[in-house]
Amino acid sequence: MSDRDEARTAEESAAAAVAAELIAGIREIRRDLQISDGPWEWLRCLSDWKTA
Amino acid sequence: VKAVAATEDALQLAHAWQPLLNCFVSIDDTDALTRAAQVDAGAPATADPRLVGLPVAYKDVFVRPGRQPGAGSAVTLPAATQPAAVDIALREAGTVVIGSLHLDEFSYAVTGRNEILGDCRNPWNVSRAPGGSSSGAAAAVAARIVPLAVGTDTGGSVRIPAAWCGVLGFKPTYSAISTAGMVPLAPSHDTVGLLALDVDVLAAGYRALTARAARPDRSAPADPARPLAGLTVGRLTDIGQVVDAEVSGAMDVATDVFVQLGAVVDEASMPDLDHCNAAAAVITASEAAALHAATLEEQPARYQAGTRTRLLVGQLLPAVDYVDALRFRARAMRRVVDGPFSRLDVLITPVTPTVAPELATLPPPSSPQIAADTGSLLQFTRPFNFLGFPSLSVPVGFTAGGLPVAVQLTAAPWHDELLLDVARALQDAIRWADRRPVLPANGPRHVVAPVTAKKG
Repeated sequence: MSDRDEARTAEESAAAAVAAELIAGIREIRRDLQISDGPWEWLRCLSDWKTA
Repeated sequence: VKAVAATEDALQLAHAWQPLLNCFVSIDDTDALTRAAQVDAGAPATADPRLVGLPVAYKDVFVRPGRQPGAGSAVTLPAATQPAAVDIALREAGTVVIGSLHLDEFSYAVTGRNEILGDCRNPWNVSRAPGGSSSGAAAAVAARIVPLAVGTDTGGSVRIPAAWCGVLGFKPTYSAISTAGMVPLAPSHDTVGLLALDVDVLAAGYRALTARAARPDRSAPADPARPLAGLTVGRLTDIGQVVDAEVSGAMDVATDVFVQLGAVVDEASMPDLDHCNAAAAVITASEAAALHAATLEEQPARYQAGTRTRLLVGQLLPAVDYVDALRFRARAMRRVVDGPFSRLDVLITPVTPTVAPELATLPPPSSPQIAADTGSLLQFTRPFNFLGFPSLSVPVGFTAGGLPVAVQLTAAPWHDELLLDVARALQDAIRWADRRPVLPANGPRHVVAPVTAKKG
């Protein structure tokens, strides 16, 4: 394996380890979510508080 | 004469400190002096006098007339045509830009280490990290080169270097300042921020960039000796074993001063701090990966290995997880506003677990390990990018070893002026800016060793 291939493998393996950790974190958060929680609702909250 | 004189002083300091700190990407003498002469010839009548003729500098992510930002990278980005909204507003306010400032590659790290630009250094001790990603902004303000610098903060990139370099670092409420003409990292978190030595200058810059008149969140105190009377300040207690004694000591100092200034200080906890960090990490990684997908495919070798690894992380995250992280955001925001911020005006937390570490102890940008190591440094700052709350790093003194220590103050959304008000009271009480780093009289060559040819 060339040095470049080895470096690429090291990067991919480091990235996979971090991604697995992040995915596990979201799995925990998901238990807290309800079907009505929309992905852009946070923008509406911020806008409402601005004019409050 | 005022703008030209101030600009000449700033340029002289910039050139004197640059070999030591490497805080500038470019120092633009000719443009700055031309612009300063124009300001002296006729400043806008409506401008805040604190900003007229004020030398400033920007993190190298903002488009300026005739200058594309390099974003701390060897990657070539498509050229933008319009100057950044920040540049337009600050020019209208009468400031003079003297140059562009060092950063971590694409703002995607928090140490100030950069293989393309070379490392930036901390003016209080050049073997220490300045923090990042607005590394040059913090170092240039700390070294008194410019009184105001513009940075960006996606997870702590203004507040962390501000804390490590001993200056004010302000991340306003999300979307308060336009990010047009800025090289983005993760648009759902990206916030233009300001670094300064004086709260009044910081506030003037903030108002120029938000096109807002001063609109205090509270009425003037009845007793000038107790300027924070009537405020309730919460001290985050659940910081466990992760914070050094010097940082928790800074929390003690700030708490004592708040009490002396008339505030009620109470213990506080932050719901979902870990979950906010986890969700923020997914959003940042996913958005950064999407924004860089094309250039990463076209120019992979031009990215530093650490950045490339972090972008690979984002490519490995499922879209469902990204959407769920966004879905959690409103729930977390409401929980914090209806929870701790229903009784608190301001929350005090650490900025980072430690003061500025030795540069050599931090993973270099060439290390894929940087992707795993950044989380702990961001644990107190990144949740407030996720929540969108305004947050300010304020120096409270120095360690026995002469390094700055700071605390982070956070308020509910759109209570930015309240934070500035509180920071002003702290500044008047602690006078942290009276102490300044000293440029070695015998010159930087004694600090940065010259490169010598190997014998033999």
